[in-house]
Amino acid sequence: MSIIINLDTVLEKRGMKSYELAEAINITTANLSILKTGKAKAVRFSTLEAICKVLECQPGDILEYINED
Amino acid sequence: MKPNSTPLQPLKYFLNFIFVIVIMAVGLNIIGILFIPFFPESKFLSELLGVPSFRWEFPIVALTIISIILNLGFIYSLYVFKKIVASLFKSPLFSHFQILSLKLLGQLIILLIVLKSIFNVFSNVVFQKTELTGIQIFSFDSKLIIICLGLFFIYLSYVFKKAKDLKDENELTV
Repeated sequence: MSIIINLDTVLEKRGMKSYELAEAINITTANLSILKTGKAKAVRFSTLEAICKVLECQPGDILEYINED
Repeated sequence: MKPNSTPLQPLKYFLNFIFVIVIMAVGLNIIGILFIPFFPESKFLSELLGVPSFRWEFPIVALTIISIILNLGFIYSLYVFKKIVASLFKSPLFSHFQILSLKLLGQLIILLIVLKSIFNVFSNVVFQKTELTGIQIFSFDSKLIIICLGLFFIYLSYVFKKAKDLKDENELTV
């Protein structure tokens, strides 16, 4: 997929663990893992909003478009 | 996603009942067909194939074999249908098994109806029957209606496949 998730990078910058983020935004670690590994087919605005709020970042910091052509 | 199985209960019981009856009836039918060569003058043959007596001739033997294949095919179709209904109780909806089985059932229905039609035509030609077997479209006995049902099952399999894709997408939405 040409959209990649940079959640690991942002988490590292904030010094936060995955399970802490999962707890903070109230989703399961399994779902967060799906998001981090790029297996997710879609992200709800509510989830994205919660992630941005907790990590104090913009959606563009987490999502990145790469032209694969 | 587990389906609400309550509306399916009557179908399940009815299908199980029909399956047992059909197994017994078709079993007896096949045994009867296999014994035809030993009782060539029996009325069973004339009723089943529309011939007065059994002879070791190609058309009669071919019709007998096609008749057995049709019987076994009907049992298998019913078995597949039974498995589909059972899977709606046990496994989640829109499984890979249900998609494949619905498609198989549709194909079997169409194949058996076509084979049955060939059987009838062949039987009429070989034994020079004078009765007309035109296409009857005014009841649910009609072969055309049954072919439509077969096509509907194939389409239902396509709908299940689409539903499975949507379900997978929904499950991978975070």
